[in-house]
Amino acid sequence: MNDIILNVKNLSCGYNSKIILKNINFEINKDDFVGIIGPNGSGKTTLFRAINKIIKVQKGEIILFNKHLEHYNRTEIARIVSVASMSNYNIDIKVEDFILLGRLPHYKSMQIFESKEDHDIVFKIMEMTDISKYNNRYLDELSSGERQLVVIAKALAQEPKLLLLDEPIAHLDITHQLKILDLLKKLNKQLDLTIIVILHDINIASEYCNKIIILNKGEIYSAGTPSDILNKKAVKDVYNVEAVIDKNPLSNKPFIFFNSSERL
Amino acid sequence: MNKILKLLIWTFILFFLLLIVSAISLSLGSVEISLKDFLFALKNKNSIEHDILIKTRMPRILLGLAIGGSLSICGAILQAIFKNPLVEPYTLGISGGAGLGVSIAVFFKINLLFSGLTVTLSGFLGAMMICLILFVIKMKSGFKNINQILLTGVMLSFICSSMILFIMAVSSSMDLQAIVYWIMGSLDEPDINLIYITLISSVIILFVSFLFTRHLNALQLGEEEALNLGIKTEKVKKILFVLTSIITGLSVSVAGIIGFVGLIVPHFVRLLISRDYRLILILSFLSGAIFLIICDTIARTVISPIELPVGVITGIFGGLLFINTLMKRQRDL
Repeated sequence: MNDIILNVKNLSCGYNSKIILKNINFEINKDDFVGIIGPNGSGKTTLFRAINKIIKVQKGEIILFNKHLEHYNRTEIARIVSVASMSNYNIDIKVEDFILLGRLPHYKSMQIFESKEDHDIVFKIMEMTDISKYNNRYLDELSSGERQLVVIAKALAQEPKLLLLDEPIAHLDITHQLKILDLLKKLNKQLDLTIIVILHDINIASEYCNKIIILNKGEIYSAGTPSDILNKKAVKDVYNVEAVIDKNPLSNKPFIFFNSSERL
Repeated sequence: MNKILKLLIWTFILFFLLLIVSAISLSLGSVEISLKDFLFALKNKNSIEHDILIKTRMPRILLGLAIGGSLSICGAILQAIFKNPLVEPYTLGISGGAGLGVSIAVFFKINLLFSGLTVTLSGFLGAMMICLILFVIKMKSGFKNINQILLTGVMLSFICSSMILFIMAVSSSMDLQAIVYWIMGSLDEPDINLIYITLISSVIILFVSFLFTRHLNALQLGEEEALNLGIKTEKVKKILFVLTSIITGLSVSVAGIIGFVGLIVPHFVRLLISRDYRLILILSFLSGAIFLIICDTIARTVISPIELPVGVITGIFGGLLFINTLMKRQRDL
C-alpha cells in the first residue's frame, strides 16, 4: 500500500492573468522519486511554485499530506516542502551559515539564534552530503558542482518530507551529475524522502526516477514509469526530435539515442 | 553559540569605544576641559563647566547617538528589503519630503507664528506625506515589485528637491539662510524633550528590528528563497518599511539631512565584521552613533568658534574612510 502525499487535481495556474499550467492531474506516493521533464517554458518551475504555494492556484486543488494547500501557512509549508533551486547565489556567506538558514522554518516564534540542535542537524547533513570540508569557505568561492551540493544541503536542513529540485545537475560534468543523483537516491531510500526533480537529461531521468511526468505547453503529455512512457512518439511530439529508443545494457532502463537533423 | 559570543564581544568593544568617544567629545570645544577638571566639573554642580558639559555638550552627544544609531539601522534594513547596496534612508524621498515641509513652513513664515517646534513638525509632516504616497502606491501594486517602489521614491525625491530649489529661488535671503541651515543638518537641538523622544525611538527600533533579524537574513537570499524558508515576505517588508520611514522622518525633522551615515555604516559592519543581520543591526547602531559623534566633534572644533555643518564632515570623512576600507578588502559587497 502506498500513501498518496501529494495530489494535484485539475490544477490551472499562472502569473496574474497569464495561465501557464492547464488541467494538471497527478498523484505522488510516499518515497517516490519523480522526474519532471519537458521543453523550456513548459511550466515545470511554475508547477513547483504552485506546489510550494508561491503562486495562487486559480482552478482545481492541491492536496498535500491529506490537507488542502490553502490551509497551510507559509511556515507550515516550509517545514514540509523544501525547494533547492539553482539560482545563482553570488552572495558571500559562509557555507555553514548558509545551510543554517535552512533551519529558519523550525525556529520558535521569538528565537533569534540557532539552538544546539540546529547546529547538530546541520553538522549531520554536511557529513551526509560530503561537504564538511567546505565548512569555512564562502559560497561564491565554490565551483558550481560544490555549490549545488551546498544548496541541496540547505534544503535538507529544513528537514522536509518532500524535496523539490529545480535542475540540480544543469551545467555539471558527468561526475558531479552522478554524485548528486546518487546522493538524492540515497536520501530517497534512507530518509524516506519523497523527491520531485526537474531534469533536462531524459536518459538520466530514466535511470534514476521510478516515475516520470512529461510536461508540454503547460499540460501533462504523459506520466508513468520510464519504460511505459519514454518512446519514440513522445520524444517526437514533445521535443520535435527524431530518436531511437533502446535499453541501457547495465540497468535495462529505456535509453534514447538522438538523431541529428543533418543525417535525415 | 559562537555567533552569540562574537556579538557580545563586538557589542562590548563598540560600547566601550562609544564611551571613550563621548568622553573626548565632551571635553573638546571652545572651552577645553581637561580630564582632571572633567570629573571635577561633573561632580560640582555649580561650576560653569558643569553647565557646559551637561546643558550644551551632553544633549548633542545624546542626539548624535540617537540619530547616528537610527539612520544606520534604517539603512541596514532598507538595504536588505530592497536587496540593493546603494539604498539609504534618504533614497525613498523621505528627506526630500521633510526638506520640502520645512521650506514651505519657512517661506510662509509659519515657523514665526508658533513655537520653535514648528519647523520640526512641518519636516515630520512632509516626511510622512512621502511615506503615505509610497504606501498607497504599494497597496496598489503590492510589495512584490520592490524596484518600482524604489524608483518611485527616487522620483519623489527629485520632485521634492526641485520644489525646494524653487522655493529657495523666490525666498528672501533671510529665509534662504534658514532653509540652507536646516538642509545641511546639525545636531544643535535646543529642545531637550525632542532629544529624549529621538533617543527613545531609536532604542525602540533597535529592539523591534532585532526580532526581524532572521527575516532579514532570509531576504538577503532573495524574495523567493525567503518564501521557501517560510518567511511572509510581504508582511515583513510592510512592517519594516513603515517602521524605518517613521524613524527616518523623525531623525530628519530633528537633525536635518545628515547624509551618508545610513549608507556607509552598515557597509562598514558588513565588510569588517559580518553580514549576519543578527550582528549587523546592533553593531550598526553602535558604529553609527560613534561615527556621528566623531563627525560632530570635528564639525564644531576644527575651525572653532565657527561650526561646520556635520553633513559636510560625514560626507568627506566617511567617504574617504570608506574608500580606504574598500580598497583593502577584496570581497564583494
